[in-house]
Amino acid sequence: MSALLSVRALEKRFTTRSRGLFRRTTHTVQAVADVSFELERGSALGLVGESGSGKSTTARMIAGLLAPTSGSIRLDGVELAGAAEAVWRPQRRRLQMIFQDPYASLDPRRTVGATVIEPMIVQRLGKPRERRVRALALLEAVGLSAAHAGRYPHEFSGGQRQRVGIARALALEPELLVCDEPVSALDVSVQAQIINLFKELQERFGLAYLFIAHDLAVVRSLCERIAVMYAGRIVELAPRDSLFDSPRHPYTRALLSAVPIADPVLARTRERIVLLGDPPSLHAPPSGCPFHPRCSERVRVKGDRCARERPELPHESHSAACHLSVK
Amino acid sequence: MSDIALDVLDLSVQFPTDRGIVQAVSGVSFALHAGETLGIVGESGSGKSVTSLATMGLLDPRFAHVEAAVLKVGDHDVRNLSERAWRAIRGREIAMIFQDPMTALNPFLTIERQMSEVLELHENATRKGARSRVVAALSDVGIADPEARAAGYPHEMSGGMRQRVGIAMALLAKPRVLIADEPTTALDVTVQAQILELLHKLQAQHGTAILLITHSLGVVAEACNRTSVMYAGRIVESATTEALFARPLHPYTRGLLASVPRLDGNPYRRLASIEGQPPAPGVVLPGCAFAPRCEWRRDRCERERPELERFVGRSSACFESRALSGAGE
Repeated sequence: MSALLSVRALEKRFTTRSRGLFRRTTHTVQAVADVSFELERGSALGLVGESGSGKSTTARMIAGLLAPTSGSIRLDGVELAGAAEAVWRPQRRRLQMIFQDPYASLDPRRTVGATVIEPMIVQRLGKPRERRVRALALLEAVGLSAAHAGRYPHEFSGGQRQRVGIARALALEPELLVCDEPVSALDVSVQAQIINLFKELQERFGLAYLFIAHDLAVVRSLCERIAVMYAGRIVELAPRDSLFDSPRHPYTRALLSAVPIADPVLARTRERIVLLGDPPSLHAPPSGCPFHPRCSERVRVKGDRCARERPELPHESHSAACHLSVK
Repeated sequence: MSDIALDVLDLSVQFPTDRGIVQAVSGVSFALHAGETLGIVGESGSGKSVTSLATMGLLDPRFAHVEAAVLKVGDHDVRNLSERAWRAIRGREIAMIFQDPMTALNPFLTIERQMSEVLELHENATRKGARSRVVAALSDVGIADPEARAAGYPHEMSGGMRQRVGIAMALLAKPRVLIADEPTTALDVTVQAQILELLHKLQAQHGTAILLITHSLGVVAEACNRTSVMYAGRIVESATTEALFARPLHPYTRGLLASVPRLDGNPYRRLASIEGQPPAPGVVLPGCAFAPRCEWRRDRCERERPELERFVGRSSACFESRALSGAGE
């Protein structure tokens, strides 16, 4: 009961039908499979993985933008998976989402002030005057000024637009922000500003973050716990330091070694694991461990267990779904 | 030196617009030698991509005014070439790969058809002769089952595989220079590592000179011998990659390096960031373009633009750089 967000055995399957001349074919894509984790109040969990790993699909299910095929999503004990709008509505205040592309998520015909006020109107929060005062305070909290309130999104740079998106998300005093690649579209110097802002806001408002990103260094600078996803599943879940200092899953090790290091001396001396082959097809996922066709450590496992049997993710503080890390 | 593959001196590019002239690139100079990789790093709007398009002759003269004191690919002066003359140079002397390989691939043609076009154009190869070269080239870039892939279409491939095809196609006629404009930006990190390794391997085999345009300091550190940093259309610092990262002389380079979150950094510390943002396109400041964001700013910086000054093995455009460089000590 203590966790703010508790996700159990979350699944998402997409079915696509294509109609040929003589027959109908159905494809099923398992985008997310058996994802479970907990997120404490005021803490930050990072969800990392490459394209097709299921990280964004997971985020969208938690934010209520996509219905899960099965599984449970509890926000402070309230079941949200498959919940009716009447159940969702009061919970939406507590959980807000921030998107990668602030250009796409802001209404170009609405001033920035009106954008921040809108969720308060929808949720019938406060009187009009109070809403305006609060909107201005929020714009200042995210590093903009009251003078910006009357301007339109096109007058802002990418970083400033992301600040507006954050101010809007904060309007309802949420406890949890689900952020899907919130800094990937920004330039390096601006990206650092926004990461710092996320940190400040966390301390100031006691926010919890579910932070989805493909950039491991960004996630490391913000999240105390990190889940690594591969082919729709969490393959490793660990506290920040133990994940980065002693990664247990061979995929995590390969991923970490592939991250370019902004240090030419280190970059040329470190050992690099270059993965062979392409990420797995979600139409026809490999048997056994989804990573086994690309895994260089598979030979250390007796028999052909990796190809036959999928390793479970154990419930430990640092857990990895690999036959090699289960004693 | 005679092994200069790409020589650029005082390149500038202007775009006349309804709201006046936008100076996208000013006074950019560099020399790229055979077998080396030069990185050009910068943020959006810094002029790095326009620089690469200008050196490829890909800017439409109706919309862009390109000027340069020297613009040479090998021994060919490519200033003011006609489109017809460019066709003999592009592909054969200088080729390019893009962020999105689909930009360079024709979705309606098989991989073999579009790749053999390069050989038919530059080497009068026959269809049959071209086929075996195409298959060999695909195999060189690590594509499994190259015969079957050659007969397929771009949409049947993953992003990483398409970039491999892009590279194979760019290198078919063995150009002296390869311009890689954000070649790994759209790719996942593990695929990015594969592609960077592939470029390195092919460069060692053919002695290709690579101009790598990127926003990522990590990619530069991994892949480039020398690096130039661009800001607001100008090169503000150039050095060997080691020297640039070990001891940046320009405050923008310092700020940029400090603002990258690192896997070995202290996660509990605030990231250094550069406050503010680059000047909007078309805005020309009388002094240093970085001055409004610079913590070293003095009155002089707002009045007078510091020229790119040469020091031993490197250059920087900042009034403070001379003292920092140790020159004159």
